[in-house]
Amino acid sequence: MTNPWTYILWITVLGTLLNSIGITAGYLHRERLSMAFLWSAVAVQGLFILWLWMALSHPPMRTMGDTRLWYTFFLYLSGAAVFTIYRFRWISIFTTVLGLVFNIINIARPELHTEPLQPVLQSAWFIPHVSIYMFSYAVLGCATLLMLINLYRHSPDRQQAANRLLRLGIALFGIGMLLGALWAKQAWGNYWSWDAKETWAAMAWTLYLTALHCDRKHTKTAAIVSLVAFMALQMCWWGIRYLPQAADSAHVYG
Amino acid sequence: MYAIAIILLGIAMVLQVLVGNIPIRLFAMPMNIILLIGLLCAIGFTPSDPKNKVSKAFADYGTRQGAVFCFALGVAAMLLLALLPQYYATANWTFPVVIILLLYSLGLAIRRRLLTFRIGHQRRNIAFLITHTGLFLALAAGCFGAADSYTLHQLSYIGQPSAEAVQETENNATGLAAYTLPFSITTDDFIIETEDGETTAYKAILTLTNADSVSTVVTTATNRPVYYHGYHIYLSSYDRQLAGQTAYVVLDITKQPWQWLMLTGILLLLFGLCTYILKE
Repeated sequence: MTNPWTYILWITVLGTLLNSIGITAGYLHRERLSMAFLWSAVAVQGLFILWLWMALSHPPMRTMGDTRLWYTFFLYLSGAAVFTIYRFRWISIFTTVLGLVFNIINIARPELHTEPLQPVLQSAWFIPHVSIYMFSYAVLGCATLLMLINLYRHSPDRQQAANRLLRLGIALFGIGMLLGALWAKQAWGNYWSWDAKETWAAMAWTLYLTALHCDRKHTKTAAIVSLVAFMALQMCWWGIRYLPQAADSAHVYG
Repeated sequence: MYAIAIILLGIAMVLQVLVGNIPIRLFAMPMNIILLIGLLCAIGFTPSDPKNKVSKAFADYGTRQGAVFCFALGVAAMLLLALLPQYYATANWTFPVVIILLLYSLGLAIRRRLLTFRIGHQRRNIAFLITHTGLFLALAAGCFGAADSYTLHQLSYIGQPSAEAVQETENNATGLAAYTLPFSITTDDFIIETEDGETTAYKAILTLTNADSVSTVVTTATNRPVYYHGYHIYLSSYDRQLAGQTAYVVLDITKQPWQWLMLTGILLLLFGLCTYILKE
């Protein structure tokens, strides 16, 4: 059987094209057309994964390259789902760009296609845990940006959109955290052990909850708190790699 | 509201200076159950319609302002954990005080929503109650259940049965303490899979023998722990230099009686967050 990986470039181009047309249709208020193209991009990525599954004769979940395919799939899926449910057009731009980044990494580094994952990462929890987190980062980033813009150019519609994105982002971030807790029990023995990454994740989530619970009259406070929360989120995502106190974190691999 | 927190945190800091970190086993069952019941009584008996400043100070914990204040305390504690782990740990007396204040705030918010529950607004109220109750259960199980939890390590030599393990001492100050399991573990075999020189998977075959000399053969691998007589057994490590020829494996063993309550809280919270996504 042909190695599906040889077609990753074409899949990437097709997926990005479909998403781009979908996003453009969304901004032109052609919503049904937009949804059709966004979901087609999801289908293309999904079918590629299915093809790889058949070629390998096992689920593609064992290599670094495999995991990045799933990230892209779930990012495309999240962007399409959020547009379908909420009609937020912004999100699809983020998810398309982020999904494209992961596919580009797969194209640029073919050695990842066969590089095996560490045994601890070979778990069905891995992909949903990381994918939902990444999607929540995009949503919370959007919410923070909207709230900050609203500080200078207030608009009730923008505030409402920011609040909806904030609630959605907090829910997704919380789900990612809880999936991680369930996995941690299976892998390490404790649902929660105040590991550096866990601590920063809990801190970011609590800060976003604080912004959400701020009284509706205190939109400036909420905006500033969400900015601090976004910084904590960056620490959680990639900052702990550079924090000496987090050197022993179980989340720092290799 | 702030005065209550200052008083409680002040007492905690004095205890920290006098006693050092919390002697966690002091709060093992039934003490932790008594404290949890005390917290629930405090939540139940806090007046919902305060008549004076003192009762209002307690009742304010159930408001948005109270929640924000408790979140701020939580963030401060987590910041200390993250940036100064050598000076501040979860065994510091102030840490459970912060968690208990948050639980008190959560409990009051849940109680208020239950008392104002109106038919016709079920969806919104149910989503609120499920998420907040789930978070309450998970936090309470983590906080009060810590005193009954054990995380143990065993260096298991292949072919040699042993019921001995070690645990970190209560305040992490004096190294490891011995712990005797109610069953013995024998590592019969260790199997490692490699691909192009990289380890892709490994597993151990164990024989577990209880006090009645009844043996059970089990296999444990990464992400596949074994549950036996209230203990979870995890394959943690092995001699990486000898790999497939290792003479021993390292097992992590946990005993957490409150884990089922925590799991219930996590699942409720998970379900509740999903309903928040859909109800928008």
